[in-house]
Amino acid sequence: MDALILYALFVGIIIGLYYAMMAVGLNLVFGVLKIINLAHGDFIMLAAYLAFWLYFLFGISPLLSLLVVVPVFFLVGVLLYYTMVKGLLKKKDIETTSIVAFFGLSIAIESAAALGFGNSYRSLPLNFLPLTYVDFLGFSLSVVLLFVAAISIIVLFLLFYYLNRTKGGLSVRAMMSDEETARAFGLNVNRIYATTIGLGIAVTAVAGVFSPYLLGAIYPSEGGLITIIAFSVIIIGSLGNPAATVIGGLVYGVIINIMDIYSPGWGNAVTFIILVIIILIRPNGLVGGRVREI
Amino acid sequence: MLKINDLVCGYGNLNIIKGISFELGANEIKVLLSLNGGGKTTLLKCLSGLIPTKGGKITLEGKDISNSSPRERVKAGMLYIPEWGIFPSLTIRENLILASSATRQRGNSDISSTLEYFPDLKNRLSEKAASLSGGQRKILMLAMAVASGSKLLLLDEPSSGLSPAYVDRVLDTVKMLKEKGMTFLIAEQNTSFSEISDELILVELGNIASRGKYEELRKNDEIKRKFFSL
Repeated sequence: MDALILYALFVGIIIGLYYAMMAVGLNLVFGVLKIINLAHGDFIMLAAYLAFWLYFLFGISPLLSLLVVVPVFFLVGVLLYYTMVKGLLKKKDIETTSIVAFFGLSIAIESAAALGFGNSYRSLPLNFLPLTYVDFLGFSLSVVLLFVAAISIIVLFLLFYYLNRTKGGLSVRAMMSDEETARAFGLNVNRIYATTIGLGIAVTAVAGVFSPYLLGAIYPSEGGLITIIAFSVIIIGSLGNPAATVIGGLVYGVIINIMDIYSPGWGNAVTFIILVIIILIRPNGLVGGRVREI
Repeated sequence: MLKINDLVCGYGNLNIIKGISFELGANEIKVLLSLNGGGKTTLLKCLSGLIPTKGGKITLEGKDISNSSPRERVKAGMLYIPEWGIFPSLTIRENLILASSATRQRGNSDISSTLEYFPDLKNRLSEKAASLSGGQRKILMLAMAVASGSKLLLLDEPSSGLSPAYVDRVLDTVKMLKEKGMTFLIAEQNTSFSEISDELILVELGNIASRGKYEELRKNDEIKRKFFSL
């Protein structure tokens, strides 16, 4: 195997970890509440804008901005549950209803962002870290990229630690496993749902803060494409299985990075063709069917 | 212990239970028997709070719980266990911990005391509940009920889909738990459960068609043809 393909694989894994962090909140919310959040990418855009304005107005670095962004977006998720999602859950066809409702929310967020922030492209500074590159197999590798990968690993570890090692996480997984039994055993359904959406959007917001380094400039209409990428990642892994998102992210990251290196311009096309093939061969995703739990 | 007065419940505008009244004393076993679609599962769900009460009154140990949430009813000591009321993707240990902590603030000590009654589960605590057979799942359901510390169990079809050997095991477990002081309201077609009941309640189209001891009811030819030839 030549050095270039090893480099492409390694960078693909790094990018894939970020994609996993970007999409895991969407999969967690779908797994527990069975709602399809078409505004997922818009929350990434909003978090990126918040980090941008915190830097622009107060000089707060993207890393420090997490101290503000994470709690703010957790509360946004909780509020979203009590003001919108709780009502949706009373409808008969939750999945279809949520698609329509979140599509509307996505348009509303995008329009409000365009009115509030303008349509200019924005970005965050690279100088919050030493502007260095390291040598990897004869190729230069950005330290910022490694840093974002480290953040992604930490965030995914904390999320799965919460889900698998805490009482709150056990309740969330119980809701995912069998909602009626969870209700019958007296679990506090509203609190679990609100916490799940809060967590999902807070994790998504972390991905939003670092999105300029992986996805490019911040602009109001970027949410749609990000939502499509996030859905691709969770479908490749397994819809409704948060842990499988890591597999989906890595596969997506490696494929798109290899295509970007060897055949730029074909990256998205080939990636989505592979997505269609995966759906045809394994409708439940690469992990679905064998491991249908966290 | 449980008093039901003129209870009405259903889905949307459709009333499935149309004014049922009966009482359940402490440490009793009462069995609900009906034709398919007769409303016994709806009745249990209504008692548990999963379906809202449209009319009538439910009293648990003297307290009106007609409008209480499922969580409040569980905390009051009444637990509904659906037909397959486990969490398949969680481990057996997690199922038991959840059952214990959902109703009271307790920890692993409850699990160890529960496992004394269910030794088969001891060596399989780390396995996913999904790996259990149908009969073992029913046993886990009862173990979860014990772990929860509930006094009154509303069991939905505890013998459905089981081999005769496992039906006997579930039946023995119910009898053992009754001896420990538990009270049961069981929706069940299998006549083995009717035989151990203190009273059998026959439900037809959302109303009580008849009630009494199993031995007495089966002497009635019409009841026998309609309810016991299933």
